[in-house]
Parts: sequence; structure tokens; C-alpha cells
Amino acid sequence: MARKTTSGPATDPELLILSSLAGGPKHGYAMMQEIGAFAGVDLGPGTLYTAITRLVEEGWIEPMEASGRQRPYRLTSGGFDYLRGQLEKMRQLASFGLRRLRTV
Amino acid sequence: MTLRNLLLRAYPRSWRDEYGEEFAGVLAQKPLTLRVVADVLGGGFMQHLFWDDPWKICGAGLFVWTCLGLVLIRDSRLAPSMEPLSAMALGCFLLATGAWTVLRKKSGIREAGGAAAKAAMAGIVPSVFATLLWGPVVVHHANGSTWLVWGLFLSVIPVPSIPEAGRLAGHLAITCSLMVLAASAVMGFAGALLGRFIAALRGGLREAGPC
Repeated sequence: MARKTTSGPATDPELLILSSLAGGPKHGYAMMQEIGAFAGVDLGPGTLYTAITRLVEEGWIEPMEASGRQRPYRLTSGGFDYLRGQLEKMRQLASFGLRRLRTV
Repeated sequence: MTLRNLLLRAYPRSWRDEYGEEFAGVLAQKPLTLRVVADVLGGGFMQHLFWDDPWKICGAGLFVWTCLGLVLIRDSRLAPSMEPLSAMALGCFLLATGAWTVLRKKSGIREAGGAAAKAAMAGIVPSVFATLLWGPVVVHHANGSTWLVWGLFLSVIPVPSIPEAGRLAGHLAITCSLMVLAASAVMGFAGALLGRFIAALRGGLREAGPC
């Protein structure tokens, strides 16, 4: 039976959150839903907020004015650069790996 | 109190002040399956490790270690063999406290020294109380010398046995504690340098990328 892939850069919670926020500010639950839809990853609340806390501390995302119990976050310019750099590396790795696979 | 409120309590208070409201909102919208409960508890553990001040966690560890040591050291067959281990482990622990403080709080060398000293103080407390209550533990070394050991924690600097030690127990315990505190601060400074080195290394690796 094939093993379901549950790890790797494409399931890294921090990259998933940054990718989600690249589309505009969102609060925690909206991020969870969008990540589930575009990456098929069901992030738990503990994992989500561990990553959010770290991203805020790194200065890659920042909280906005809260509306009720929900507080949206947005990408900072540093977060934008970091995400672009990481995705660029993933793209290089993916194209290299795919080229190699074609020669097999 | 609901299960969701109980789960929220798995997180440090200062973290809850910052994120608790919105986290509770997200948690309220998820069905509480076993996986979600495990995920929330895991997140709480991580926040205790990385959100709280490092000295609190290291200090709690040293406090437990000293209490355990005080129980073990009362068996004279165990005590002498544990001294070098104790000193080495304590040194590494305080070094790690200093390094962790710098890495976690992005603080300076002075703060790292203070963190190591505060962690050491938490570890000293049971030793001082035990010494004042029961007096020092006498350990007979293989070479014939006799040492008074002030709990496992203070065995880093064992005090040569003197007849008046019983009367001076409290005074010596405080003197030893102050010496340990000063040594801890020095270990914290060294840990801060180690932390800066690790931070520089990590920065370099991040620049270089995964390949």
C-alpha cells in the first residue's frame, strides 16, 4: 500500500501560512480553511498557532486590528521576500528533480 | 469549565494574553477529535518551550534535579560517584541556558548571565533548605579525605570537612550559594557567546539555502 506523503516543504506550516497570506490578510480559521483547500493539509489549531507565533516573532507576518474574537494577519515586506526566496528554491529543486526523472 | 477552556490552559499565561482570544475562537470552530486535542496539547508544550523565558524552564529543571539529588545523595554509596557527573551536567545546563536565552530572546550577554544565575538560584533553593534542616551530608572519598556535600547541586564546590561545620552549616550554605551564583553567571556569559556563534551559523546557513 502506498504511503501517504505528510511531510516535506510543500506541507511546512509556515510556508503554507505565508502562501495563504500572499493572497491578502486572513484570520486563523480562514487560513486553515484555505490551506486545506489549496494544499490538502488539515492544520490543527496548535500547529497553526505555533507557526503564527514564530512568523510574528520573525517579523514575516503582522497582526492587524481585531474584529471580535478574530484577528487578521498580513504579510510584511520581509515575509514577502522570504516566501519568494523559499518558493524560488523549491521551484529550482522541483525542475532539477523533474529533469532527472525524465532521464530515468 | 469546558474541555476547550482546559486545553487553552495548556498554554503559557503570557501567550494566552496575546493570542488566547483568537485561538479560542479557532478552537471553537473545530470538532474536538483526539487528533485536535493532541495537536493543541503539543502546541501548548511548544509554546512553553519557546515562549516562556528560558531561565524559568531551566530553573524548574534544576529545581527538580536538586530535589532528586538530595534524595539520592543521602545514600553515601551513590554520592561520590555522582559529583563529577553533577558538575559537568550543571556546567552544560547553565551554558545551554545562556545560549538559549540569546537565541530565544535575542538578548545580550548580560541578560544571558542573569538568566543562568536565576536558573541556578532556583536550583539552589532546595539545597539551602535541606542543609538548614538536616545539615550537610558527609562523603568519604577513596583517598581518605572527607568532604561535606551541600546537596547534589552544590557538590560542584564541595567544602572540606571542619568540626564546626554543623554550627556553620547555614553560613557555609549561603557562601557556597553565592559562589555558585557567580560561577553560573560566568557560564551564562560563555553560553551567550555560544548562542551568538550558533545564531551566526544559522544565519549563514539560511543565506546559503537548503542545497
